[in-house]
Amino acid sequence: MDIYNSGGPEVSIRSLKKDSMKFVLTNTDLSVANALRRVMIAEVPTMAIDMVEIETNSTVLTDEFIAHRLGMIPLTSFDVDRIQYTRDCTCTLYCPNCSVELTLHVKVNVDYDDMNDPTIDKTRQVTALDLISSDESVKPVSDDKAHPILIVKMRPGQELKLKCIAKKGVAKEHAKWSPVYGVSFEYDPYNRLRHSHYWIEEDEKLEWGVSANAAEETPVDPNEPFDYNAKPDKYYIEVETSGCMKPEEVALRAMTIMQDKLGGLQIKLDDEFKEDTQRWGY
Amino acid sequence: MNAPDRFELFVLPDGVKKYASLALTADRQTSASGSAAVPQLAHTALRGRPHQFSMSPILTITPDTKIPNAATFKIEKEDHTLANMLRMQLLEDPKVLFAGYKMPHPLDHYFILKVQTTPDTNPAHVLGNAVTELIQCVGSMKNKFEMDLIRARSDASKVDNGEGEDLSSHQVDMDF
Repeated sequence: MDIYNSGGPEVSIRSLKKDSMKFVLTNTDLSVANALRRVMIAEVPTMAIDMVEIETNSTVLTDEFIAHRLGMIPLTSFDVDRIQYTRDCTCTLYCPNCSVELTLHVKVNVDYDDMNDPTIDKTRQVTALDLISSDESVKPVSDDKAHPILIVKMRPGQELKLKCIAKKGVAKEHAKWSPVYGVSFEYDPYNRLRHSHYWIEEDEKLEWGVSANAAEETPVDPNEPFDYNAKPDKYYIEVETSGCMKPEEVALRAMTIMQDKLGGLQIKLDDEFKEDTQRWGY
Repeated sequence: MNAPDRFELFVLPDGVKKYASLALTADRQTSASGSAAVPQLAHTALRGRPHQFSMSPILTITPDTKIPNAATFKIEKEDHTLANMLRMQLLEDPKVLFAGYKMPHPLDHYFILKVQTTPDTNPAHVLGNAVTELIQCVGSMKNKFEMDLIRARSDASKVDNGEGEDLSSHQVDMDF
């Protein structure tokens, strides 16, 4: 939405890191910026473990507890376009076209020599690195090899054997499919538009400092009259991903999804016109 | 346990084609002479029958029976993301007298959009324009993003695995 008739939105990327990105979106309406935020959070498809078949579980955690923890593990999803949604697939339950299999088998053997030595830590940490994926492009996010995602801790003699089915999905169905851990969204850091009402004890300025983004804008002159026609037009957005895909990819995919949404509606509206061009007297 | 499946938020029910156009719910409006602008009751052929076909369409247009040049759009499987964008874009149009949306119930996955226009156009037409504008806007936003991405990636100081530069660490270079 070009509210100033000057060539549409402008984007300026302020920082681009491996799993986070800051950018400033200007010259567009709040509704468009918010739609982008909402789509990034809830409608960009990723891969996540959706079904778990447990063969053996003698750990201290219950099957469903472990299944839930597995579902939360972010999986690399840069190649998610290749995979179909299971509901659109021709298979009955799941197949390689619409799912990826991950297996895990950890058995901690009892070592009788160390058994009574309290100085040896006998706890085996089962982590996301123990999950073996059938697909090289879909595997647990493991940027920090020193601190992989912990699934369960095991004692000697315990065993865990299971098969996970990862499926494509969107976070509208379950938050585990969200590609982002957080999207920060700010506009009007000086509250010039008075969209925010701050709860205060005594002094608003003392109790509520301005954000880092305020450096980009001019402070409000206390004597300036309130402009009730002013609209927000500069949005400070920060995207932090789970590592499943790059942050810029999340934003680009979100924009494509917005285009698809609008395009679908346009096609439907066009069909309406074709169906009955006389209906409205056109 | 009785919670509805979350995929109902975006999965079309059985028998609904993605872009099926079935909504014969709008009728020609006689708005030639201002005051006589009483639109006929929609879909005479369907009067007395169930309001819609067994296959529920994704988009229905229902002209308002009392207000001239007004219609209610019902859009299935969409939420505030699309609805608010459409509403705000419609309100930019000087020919739109009213535009508002609501999601009637959190368990129903559709929204309704009411639009009233000036007599020289009609709600479906202005909505079509709004959608076209928004497509252009998002397309341009995407282009701008891609262009700036090339710049950001080529800017060695900004591409850094893990570390990267931080907005708060020093003054931002405004000369992008």
